[in-house]
Amino acid sequence: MTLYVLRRLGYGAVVMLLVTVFVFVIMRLVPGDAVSLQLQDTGVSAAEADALRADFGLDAPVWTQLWLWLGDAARGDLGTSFYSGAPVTELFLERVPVTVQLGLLAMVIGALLGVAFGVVAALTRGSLVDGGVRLFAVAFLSVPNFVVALLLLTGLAIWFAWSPPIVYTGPGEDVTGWLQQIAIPVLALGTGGMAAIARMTRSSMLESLGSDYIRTVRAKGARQRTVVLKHALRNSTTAVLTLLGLELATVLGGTVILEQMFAIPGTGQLIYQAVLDRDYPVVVACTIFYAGLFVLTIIVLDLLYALVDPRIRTGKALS
Amino acid sequence: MPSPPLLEVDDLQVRFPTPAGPIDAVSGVSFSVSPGETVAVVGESGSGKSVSALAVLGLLGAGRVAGGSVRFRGEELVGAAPDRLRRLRGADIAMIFQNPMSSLDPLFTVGDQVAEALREHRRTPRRTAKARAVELLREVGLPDPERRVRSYPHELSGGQQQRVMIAIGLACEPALLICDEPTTALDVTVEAQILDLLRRVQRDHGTALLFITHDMGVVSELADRVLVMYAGRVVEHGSVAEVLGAPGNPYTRALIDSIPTPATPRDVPMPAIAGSVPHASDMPSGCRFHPRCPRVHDRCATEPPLHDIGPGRASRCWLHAAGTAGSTVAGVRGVG
Repeated sequence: MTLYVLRRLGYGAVVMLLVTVFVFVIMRLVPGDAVSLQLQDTGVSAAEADALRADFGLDAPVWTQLWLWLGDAARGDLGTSFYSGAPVTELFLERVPVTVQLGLLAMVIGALLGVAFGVVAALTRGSLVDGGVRLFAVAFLSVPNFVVALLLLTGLAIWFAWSPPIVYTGPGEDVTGWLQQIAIPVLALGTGGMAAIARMTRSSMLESLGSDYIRTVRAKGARQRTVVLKHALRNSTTAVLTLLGLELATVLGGTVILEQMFAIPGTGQLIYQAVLDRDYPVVVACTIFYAGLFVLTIIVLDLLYALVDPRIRTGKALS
Repeated sequence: MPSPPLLEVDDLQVRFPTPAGPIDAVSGVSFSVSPGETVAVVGESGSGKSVSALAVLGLLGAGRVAGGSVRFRGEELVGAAPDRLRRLRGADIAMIFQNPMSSLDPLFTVGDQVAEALREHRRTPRRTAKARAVELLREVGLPDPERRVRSYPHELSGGQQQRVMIAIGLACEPALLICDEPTTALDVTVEAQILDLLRRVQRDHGTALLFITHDMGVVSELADRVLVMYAGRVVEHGSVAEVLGAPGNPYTRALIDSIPTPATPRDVPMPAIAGSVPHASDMPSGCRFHPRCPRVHDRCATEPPLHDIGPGRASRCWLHAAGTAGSTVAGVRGVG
């Protein structure tokens, strides 16, 4: 088991290295660099700009830059922002909790509601409730999260004359203000996952409810609660876990747009601004963060599979 | 039958909805099981054996009982409250199934699944239930029950899984155990062990068995009485010795003839019954067996009733009709 985790972590490290190299190179292929964007229309001479480039180390060939950067990164130095001049690590660490809170809340709410709706739909198969859940699930799956956010924002403003506060306050300072601020982004981020999970839960619950082992549980004279919540639901969890992993990618991508829309100072906003500014060190650091979060989540999900299903636990999969 | 029957099924009709309209998987099936008795239900796949058994427990799924009655200890179960049926299931009537691998929940230990059968019916402390589970697993002959109680279904062999199923069935000491082809998925040596176990259970607990099978050998080994079903109908019933010794119905005869024996000649094709059981949506008119029957004649265009052909014995065939009975039964016997 430990060996398995270590090996997965090793694969994860390789994936992150490849992602880093890829982003590092791609960013430098994008037309315009930090210096020209920063100094445009300021009348600074080409010679001065070149001096600044040399200062940032941007005059060296890409591979040299990459090599130097990797060397620094290995020592724990992710560089400094071309703009603020602050160390990237510092800039970054103060924003990570914001995005993690947002993403985690969205995933948890989406998963809980999705499973609940899925179970209800499966139990009322063919009824109006089931039809409603399926209709809304398809709708939320088809509409991108930023559209959901815009609709929520407009709807609440028009009908209830309410809009979220604009200046971000952390949950530590003002919980109500924070909740008001992140409510819409969390809902918008969560609905897509909720819809996908509701559909998956519904279909795997139906499959499970029609299975031989559920017939055995019923033949035992088990109460409906035992049949549904203990046996059928637990047998549906592996499918839902798989989906959660995929959902994370969507949610993380969503934070980039939604943090920008709702002025939430998280990594999503940071990477967005950094890409516009060609602030290479920040972009690379954020990318590593997103890739790392994803890799870690997949490993955690794999371990959860084993926790749920003894066949995976004892099988060769984890050896 | 000296004692009043434990289970009485009368004119049972089970209907399933299909896109093409409702179909009857079981029509007009009647039988009874007395306390401690073993009744076998035989027939090919699709004859309605399992559906009849599931109807008794109210476990039909999409189907429903469209007519007739099922009485257990005199209590009507058709239309009974779902919670009443739930309380009977497992406690008074238990059931074990054909495929033990898929019939056990893969995510729970076998001990959990045995203990659950107890805890769903009686307020049993977890530890007591666990201890009782070990006892039950020992009783059904699972080796090393103290350790096996923590095993998951996939860690056991097919025979061991079926023993666990039997332990689940016995947990609340039911008066009736319905066995739906419990040995079909097992190899022959294991089958013999499971049949031995069921016999022992019946002897020790006085449990009545309703045994569904398509294997005439199993019937002769285990059952007191036998019910032969074809295409959703009972075609013959009576004591095992009589029905197997001198089958009254051409279908029963054909079923018995299709069992290979060491004496079966190897150079001629096996006497299998040509064709297959008609689907409930495409039932032949008249006698349901007539398209496959070696003794088909004019009267088979109308469906025959069950003719009494002896004490506690009946057969659904025109060959028993007044005037022709004696000669034709002998004639049927001559077939094959």
